[in-house]
Parts: sequence; C-alpha cells; structure tokens
Amino acid sequence: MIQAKRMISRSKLAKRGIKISVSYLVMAVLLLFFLFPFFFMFFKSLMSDAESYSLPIRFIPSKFTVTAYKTVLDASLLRYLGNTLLVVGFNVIAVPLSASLCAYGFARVKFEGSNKVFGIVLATMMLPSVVVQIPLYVIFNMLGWIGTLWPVTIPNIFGGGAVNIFLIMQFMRGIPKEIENSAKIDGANVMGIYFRIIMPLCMPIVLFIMVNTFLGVWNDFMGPLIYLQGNPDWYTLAIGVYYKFMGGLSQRNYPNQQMAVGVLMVIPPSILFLIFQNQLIEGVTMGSIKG
Amino acid sequence: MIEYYTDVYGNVRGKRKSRNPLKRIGGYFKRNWVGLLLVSPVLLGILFFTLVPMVSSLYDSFFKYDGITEHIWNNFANFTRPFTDDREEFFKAISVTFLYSIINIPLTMVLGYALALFLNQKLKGIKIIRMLYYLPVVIPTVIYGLLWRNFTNLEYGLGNQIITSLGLKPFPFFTSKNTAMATLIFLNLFGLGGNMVLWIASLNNIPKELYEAAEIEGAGWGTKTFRITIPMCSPMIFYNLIMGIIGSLQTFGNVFVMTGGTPGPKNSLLFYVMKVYYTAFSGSPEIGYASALSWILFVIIGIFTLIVFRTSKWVFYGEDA
Repeated sequence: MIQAKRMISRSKLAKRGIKISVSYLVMAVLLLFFLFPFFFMFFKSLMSDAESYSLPIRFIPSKFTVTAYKTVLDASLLRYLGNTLLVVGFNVIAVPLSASLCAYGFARVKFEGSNKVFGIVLATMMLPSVVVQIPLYVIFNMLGWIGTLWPVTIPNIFGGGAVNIFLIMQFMRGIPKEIENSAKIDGANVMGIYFRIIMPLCMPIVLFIMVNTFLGVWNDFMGPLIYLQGNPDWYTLAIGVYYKFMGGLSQRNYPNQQMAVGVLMVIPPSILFLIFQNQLIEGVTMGSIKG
Repeated sequence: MIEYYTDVYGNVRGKRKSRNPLKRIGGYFKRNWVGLLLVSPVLLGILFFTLVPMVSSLYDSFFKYDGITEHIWNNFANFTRPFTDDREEFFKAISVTFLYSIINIPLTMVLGYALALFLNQKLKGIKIIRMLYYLPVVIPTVIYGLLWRNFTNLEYGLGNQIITSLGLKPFPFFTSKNTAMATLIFLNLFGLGGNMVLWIASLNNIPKELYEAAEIEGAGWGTKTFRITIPMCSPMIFYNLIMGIIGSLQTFGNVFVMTGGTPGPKNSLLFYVMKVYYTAFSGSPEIGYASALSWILFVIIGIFTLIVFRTSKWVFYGEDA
C-alpha cells in the first residue's frame, strides 16, 4: 500500500519534472523572440558601414567596430538630446506636482459636487486625441508656438493628465485621516499639510508617475511631429531621429548608423524600466483594475 | 432650510440656504474655495486644451479653411465629401482601420491572455522572464520603425535572409499591398508583454478559494477556465476591449514610422488618422475638411464604445458591486 503510494507520487513527480522542463524550453524560445529586436539592433550597430549594407547579410558582425556610434553622435543629435532632456525635465516635475495637487483637491479637501466634477475629468480620458490635436495646432499656430517647445510642456502644468490624477487619488485614499487631523490641530494649513504630510507619503506613486512621464516624453512621436514641425532647432530625439535617419538613401542611412541611434535611444528607457519595473507594472495594472 | 457641510477643517457646520441664486453661488464658492482652487489647474486645462479646441474644431468643420487665411462657409460640404468626391480614399481608410482593429484587438487579447496563463506558474526565475518579455514595450516608436524597416528591407534586410535560408520564397513585407497589413500585425506581437502584465495582475486577483471549492466538486480544467477564470477576468476583458477600440481606431505613429510616412503600397496602410494627418498637414492644408473627418471618427469611436458599454452585462464586478 505504502509502496503503491510512493510509486504514484514518483510518477507524479516525474510528470511534474517533465512539465517544468517543457515550460522552461517554451519560455526560452519565447524569450529569444522577445529579445530579438535588442540583439538585432545591438549587433547591427557594431558592424562597419560597408558590412551593414552589403551581401551576404549577417546577423553577427564579422568584425566588431564602433564607427557607427562615432558618426552618429554629432552636434545635431546632441542638440536633439538636449531638447528632449529639457522637455523631460520640465514634465517630470510639472506633471506629478500638478496632478497631485488636483488629486488632493478631489480626494481629501473635497468640495460640493467634487465627485461629479471628477467624473467629467475622467471622461475626457476617453476622448480621441485627433479631435483635439488639429484645432490645438491652429491655436498654437496663432500663438506662435509651433516650432517651439511650449506645446509639449505648458499643457502639462494643467493637471498633468486625468489618469495620473486618478492614480494619485487612489493612493491618497489609503493614507489615514488621523495623520491629517492631528496636523490640523497643530495649526497647519492646507498647503502645509499637502507639502509636509501628503506629498511625502505619496512618494511611491509620484515616483511611478515621474518614471512614466519620462518614458512617455522620450517616446512621444505624434505630438512633436505636429507641434515642432519646421524647426529642427527644437526637435526632440524622437522626431529628430525620424527626419534624420529615415529620409532617402543618403549617407546617413547606413543600417549600422540607424541601429546605433536605436541602441542609444533604447538604453535610457530600458535602464529606467529595469530599475523601476515593480512600480511600473504595479502602476499600469492599478489603473486598469481599479478603474 | 438648513444645509450641512463639512468645512476645510473637518467641522460640520449648518447654514441657512438663501433664496437668492447669486448669493447661493457666492455661498458655494465661499464654502468650497480651497478645494476648487486646488483642482482649478485641471479644470482650466480641460477648458483650454479640450473644450475650446473641440468647439473650434466643430466650427472649422463647416468651413473651407486652411488654418491661416479666412474661413469660407461651405455648408455641410465637408461632411458630404467623404461620401461623394473623396469616397474612394475615405472608405479605404475606414476599411484599413477596421480590418486592423478587428484582427488586432482579439489577437492581442487572446495571445496576451495565453502568455499570462503560461507565465502565471510558480517557477524559479519567472519574474525575470516576465520582465524580459515586457522589455520590447519600452522601445520608442521611432526606433521600432527604424528597426523593422531595416529588418524587412528587401535587399539588405535580415528578414528575407532568414526566410530564404529556410527554403521559402522571399516575402515582400511592406512592399506589397497583400502582405503589408499582415506584417504590421505580426510585428505588433513584440508588444504583447504590455498586455500580458495586465492579465497576470487580473489572474492574481482571483481568490484561490474559488478554485479549491471547484476542485472539491470535481471540476476539470475546462470548467475552471470558463466558469471561474474568464468570468473573474471579465472586468479586464472589458477594459482591454474599450482601450483596444479607442487605441486601434486611432492607430497612427507606429504605422507612420514603419512606412516612412507613406500610406503603404496602394494605400494598403492608409489608416484613418493618417488620412486626417495628410489632409491637415499637406502642401495645401485643409483644416476644415480634416476637422470634419476627425469628428466623424469621434462619432464612430463614440458609437462603438457605447455599444460595448451598453452590452456590458457580462462583466462581473464582484458580489458587492
């Protein structure tokens, strides 16, 4: 009887072992698939100009060289990087600050009808951006803002996006009221409570929003494409790289150089993601599950 | 009539309601000014960057307008043009966008779900694997375009090198109207990790007791999947569906960079928003017509989201909701 049981558990164990090995095998194959774009870019960027653009087509370079990186890193690319960092720097501070102030108003201070007003704010999330982008272009054009960085920065002072407000509100709901009340008794005013108590306690979600804002600005293509058009001086990386490396078959379009730019532009968001992966994935799912 | 309210300091106060509407509005602001002041940025933002543009775009849509010179009234010409003069291109854009949405939304949902189920096992190193699967999501759109344009290039791209070395015929990728859409949808699969993490979170939210109870009653894999997992994940399915519809119908950037700003061979990748973009920002910009087109898209998206919302009885929000 005991032996029979042992036999069963042994065969079960063997079955489980097989299942685990098969799982790992499938995972490895899928991993190759998902990481392929990175390997492809990396290897191509280390080829010489001629090799990247001639037959036979190779995946791994015959000789590793960094010439592509040297050619690519010129004054204009650094200019684009500088512009991007300007926009990133501004938005990474403006977005969480503005969003958390609004969230504080909706979630804690409150006012009569605050829930209804917040409903309207959330509803704007559903609006397709095209309906707004063309008239905004016309308006910004009248203001003389097209070709400057104003259209990709100033609007973020105003609330920093409904999703961010919503996320901070969810977080604020978890902060016990007593902390706030005792500060009130000590005579702190609303702004004092916000800066000294609420803001520090909200740091985890604020950090998430900062990282997310960085990734969003770094990646944003359509905004700069419409609002920065015609002025290469203020191009961000996304749009600068697009015009510089995707045009006709000029000297600049060697695949190794394109991929070198690719590698350079993928490094910052990848590092950020690897550092903040837990917060990022948590934040992404928080918005969808609770919303 | 006495109205009770909580003031800024959390004290409950009562106040006689005035009959004078002006005084009542004044009273409202007096009682609530702190909260209103705090949320004023977002209210002003919605006014300046959503409401004003929307009204102005609705206004522009009834005019012949290039964005610089004067508005010329042209009745409803901008709204009839998609069904008359511009019929061919308009319906091409509609059909491209719809075809893409109809394939892409269910495909990413089903595959993302399958991937999540697969990665929801308790194995060593599974967290690292999940993270690496997610990694392609952080590749910026422009680089995504550069990368795949390079890979699918017919002469010096690696794509066809791999395909021919397997003994197959070279694949035309983005250069043929028959394969451009399929190529685009296939390349989207690299972003599946984004969808996967949502599903994993949703799966982890299902109480384990449900499965235990089902197992005691002898439920098999199929019953557990279709009677527990899928119904419990229905809010996520709903969320994905809504976001998928809104996102897919507005597809622009990822296609624009992949085709180098062109609508693909024989307009096979002429997405709706690309058509709007070409109309608004070409050599002879037609802001009026582009506004009308974007309002038509707005209505289409509105109708579809409404249909999904109205038929959302199948979504399960838990017992207490």
